[in-house]
Order: sequence, then structure tokens, then C-alpha cells
Amino acid sequence: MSTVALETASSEPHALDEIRTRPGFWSRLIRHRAALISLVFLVFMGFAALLAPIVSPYDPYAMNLVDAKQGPSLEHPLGTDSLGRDTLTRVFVGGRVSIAVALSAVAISSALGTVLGLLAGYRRGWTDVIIMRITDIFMAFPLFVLLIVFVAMLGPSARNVVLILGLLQWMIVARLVRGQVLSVMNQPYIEAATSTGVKTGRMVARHVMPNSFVPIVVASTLGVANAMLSEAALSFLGLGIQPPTPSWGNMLNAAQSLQVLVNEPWVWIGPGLAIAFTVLSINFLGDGLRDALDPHL
Amino acid sequence: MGGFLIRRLFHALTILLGVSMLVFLFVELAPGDAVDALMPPESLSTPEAKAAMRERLGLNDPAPIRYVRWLERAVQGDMGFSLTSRKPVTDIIMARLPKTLLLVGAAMVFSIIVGISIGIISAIKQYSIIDYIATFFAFFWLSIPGFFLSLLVIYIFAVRLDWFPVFGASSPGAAHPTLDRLHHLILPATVLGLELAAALTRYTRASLVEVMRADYMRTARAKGLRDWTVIVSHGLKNALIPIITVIAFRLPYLISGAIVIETVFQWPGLGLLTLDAANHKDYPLILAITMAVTILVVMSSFIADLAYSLVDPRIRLG
Repeated sequence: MSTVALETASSEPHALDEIRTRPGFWSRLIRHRAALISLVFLVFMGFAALLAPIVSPYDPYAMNLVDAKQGPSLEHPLGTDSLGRDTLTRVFVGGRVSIAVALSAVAISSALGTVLGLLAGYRRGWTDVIIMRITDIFMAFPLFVLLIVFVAMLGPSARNVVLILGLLQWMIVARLVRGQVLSVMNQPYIEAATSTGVKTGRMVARHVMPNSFVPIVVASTLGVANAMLSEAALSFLGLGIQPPTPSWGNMLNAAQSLQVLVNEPWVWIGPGLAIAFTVLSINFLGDGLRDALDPHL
Repeated sequence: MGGFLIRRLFHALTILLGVSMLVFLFVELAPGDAVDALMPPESLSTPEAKAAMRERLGLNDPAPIRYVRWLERAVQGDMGFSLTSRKPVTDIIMARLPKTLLLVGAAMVFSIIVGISIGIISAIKQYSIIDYIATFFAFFWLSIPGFFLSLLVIYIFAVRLDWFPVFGASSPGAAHPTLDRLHHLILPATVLGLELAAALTRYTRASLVEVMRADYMRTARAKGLRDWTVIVSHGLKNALIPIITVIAFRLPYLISGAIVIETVFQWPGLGLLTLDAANHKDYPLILAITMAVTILVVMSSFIADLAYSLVDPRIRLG
């Protein structure tokens, strides 16, 4: 990887050659090996989560006290929990919940961040000052404290977790979009567009948004990882997704009892590893996307 | 310097006001109020008694007036009484704060020592095996949830190996209270510090790699200084600015992490208190904790700013 980068840097080809030989998005992403492996893993997790109820012979909700607290075996690769439910099935079904919550939260926060960033960058003046000051406040604050407080007050549920996570994570996107707007607005083609009387809405759609696309995608990808960790932590504390619906976080909640922690490690190690590797993959993918999409960085 | 202090103070005040308004607003929107908490529904209280109490407590006044009233008292250090324990909120927080500061402080020291050293090694031996392993683990620690890591280390080091106590901050009747506290501190502080250590590794490496190319580094080497001297006193010194930024920027994460880790380890600090307060809808306590945490964060970002000018005399606070 490093040698390729060195060669292109040292040979200094013509501008035209460079455009022709510069590898495309996919080949750059594939060259980023960690990102590629992560992508494969994420696709696998996604399918497993979607297909789990169809493929698995076990019901993730049905109690079966005869088979309770079994260690890993061929029938139950990750054993069963204290109610006799198959842990592996619940890990995949839980993944469905965790992934859905994280994606929805990021959809809200990215949209909110984009709108606020556009407003701040476009209107300048007081709008900008106020929005950026609010962004500073949110960024300086340990959001998890607010998260716990808000969820506890509104009542723990998947909907509330999505809403609150969405409303607390928009800052990075807002900053990025604002920065992009400011830098795009200085370009000569914007001046040209303004002089020909292009309307604001069209200007944003045609010139500002395409330029902001890459940073938004990268920030949103990393935002999914953050949202997933926050949801897991909340659910672990009993403030997020409520049982019997499994989520990776609330499956680990069982391990707060020393009995489960010591005697049934398979119940909590499985979902824990699922979160860790999924978040790790998303982080690697975000890193790879940044490299692949934005050659300047 | 004076101008800087005034601007900084103004900035801190806006943050404090902003956060307090946000939390106050949320408490407003939440269902139920203090009267419901003080008079449980199963008690014999009549609706009239509740209304009278509301009037007496001033809960019927408009929200902005109550906010200003709360602010007036808060400025004087009176944050009201906890709804569950009936003790002054300030006392409760002050009793818990040192434990959290100890945990967060220990985590910080650990992460600074470990993170910066590994970052230096990674930067010197760029693209070596050590560098790749360090990079992978940095990503790994940034991705693994704190509570899962806590459970893992408890399972391995406290339960299976029995090297450390499983939870708590002290054991009753320990012969050496200080040693006992340290013994309890090691696991949670390490787990809490790993994430910051990982972030520091990445930034130290990036920053140092950048600095290593500078002309003055070549000059220092040409003068015949030893490698280590060059790296530490010429390289690291100039690489410190982004490192300080990361430490200050990551502090909120550290406090967020402390909440979860305190819960897993049953470490009796502000984190456990936050969870209790949230679960019991103890609004005065919740408001006070958020304010205490905000003050903590604002103060440390102020210290970071001062540190900039200490590290780099070119940065003048004015």
C-alpha cells in the first residue's frame, strides 16, 4: 500500500495522465484491506440479522426451561441463557435491533446536522454565531450524561433512544457542512452562478451539496459506530431497548449478575464480541471510505 | 492575558447557562413533577393538598421565573434538596466527586503514559510490525464498548485469576486503606483509560511523524545529539499541541465512560449517582450533577488553553 503511494508521488506524471491512471473509488476501497474485510463482515452481519428468524430453528423469545443455562454445543453454538433461549439466534436478532436503532438515529442526526450546517454557512451573521455556539456547547459536554437523563425522563424505549441519539449527535456533520459551504462559496463558479441569477435552493442543490457529500458520508459512517456504542451502553444500563426484545446491549445486562458473569460467560461474550467487531468494522470502513472518496486527505 | 481570561470566562458562562437551560427545559417537559415525587400516589394526599403544596413550592409560576429563581440560588451554591434522600444536593455531590476525580485522574495518567509512549514507538518505527499492531489495537480499543471490556477484565482478572477485587472502591477493615484503594482502582482506571490511550497513540504518532520531517530535527541530528534526545526534547515538544487538544477534547468522553464503568465496577462516584438520580427522577439532583460535570469540563478546557501557551510560547493568550 505504501509503495504504491510512494511511486505515484515520486513519478509526478502529467495532470492528464494522473486523472487517467488514478484508480477509481472501488479499487481504492479494495486496496484498503482492513476496510474491505470490514465491509465483508458487515454485509455478513446484515444478512445474518435479516435472515436469523428464518434460518434459525429456535424462537428468540420462547422460553424453554429444560434447556436453560447450557454451555456451547453443536445444537446451541453459543449456548442458552437462563430462560433457555438460544444465544446465537438472539445475537442475530439483537443485531437487527441494534443496527436499525443506530441507522435511524444517524439518519436523523445527519439530516439535522446538514440543515444546521447549511443555515450557518449560508446565512452567516448571527444565525452562524448562534448555531456554532450551540454546537460548541454540545461538543463540550459529556453527552452520555444527558442521554441517560433524557431517556430516563422520557421513558426507555427504542423510539426514544433513536430520537435522543439523533438529537444529540448532529454536531460533527453540522461543522463539516458549514465548513464546506464557506469554502465553496469562495469559489469563482459560485460567483458566476450568482451573477447569472441562480436561486439559493438550486445553488445549494447543484453546488454546495455535491461538495459536502463526501464528508457527510464519512462522518455518518463513524456516527453509526458511535450511535451503536451509545445504544448498547444505554441498553446495558437498562435504559435502552427493553427485554424481551433482544439488543446487543441488553443481552449483556444479564452479566451484571455475578452468577451469570461467572458461570454462564457464553451468554454475554457472544453479544459483546458482536458489538465490538461490528463497531470496529464500521470504524475501519469509515477510514477506508475517507481514503477512497477523498484523495486530498 | 486579562482579555483572554475575560473572554474565556464569558465563554464558560454561556456554556453553563446553555446546559442549565437545556436540562431545565427537559425537566419541564418530563411527565410528573416534584409534588408527585414528594407525595407518592398511594399516600392519602388529596388533589387539594397537592395543589396547595404546588402553590407553596412555587411550582405554579411560569417556567422562566422558576428558572431564574433556581439560577439565583444555584449561584450561591444552593442547588436544593434531593427528592429521594432529602439531603442537600451539593453535599451529596461533594461526597461522590472525589471518587470520580480519582478514577478519571488515574485513567488519564495511565492513558497519557501508555498512549504517548506507544505513539512515539509507532512514529519512530513507522510501518513496522509494532506499528501495525499498535494501530490495530488503537482501533480495537476505540471500538470495544467500555462495559463489555469491564466485564471481560472482571471475568479474567478478578474472577478467574483472582488478582483484583470484583467490585467496589474499598474493602471494609483493610489493613492499608491506601493500598486497598489502589488495588480496587487498577482495573476500572485501566479500562477507562484504554480508549483515551488509543486515541493518544494515534494522534501522537501522526503528530510526531509530521514533526520528524522538520528541518530543525535534521539539524538536531546533525549536531550529533542522541536519537532519544532529539525525539523527546525536539520532536515531542513540538508534537505536544495536538496531543493536548486530544486530551481536552476527549475529556467529556472520559466522563461519559466513567458513568458506565462505575456502574459495572460499583465504584461509588458521580456516575453511579447519575444513574440512581435518573432512575428515581430526582430532578434537583440531576440538574446539579449536570452542572457539576459541565463545570468540570469547562475548567479542564481552560487548563488545556493555559497548557498551550506553556508548551508553545508563540501562542500568546491575549
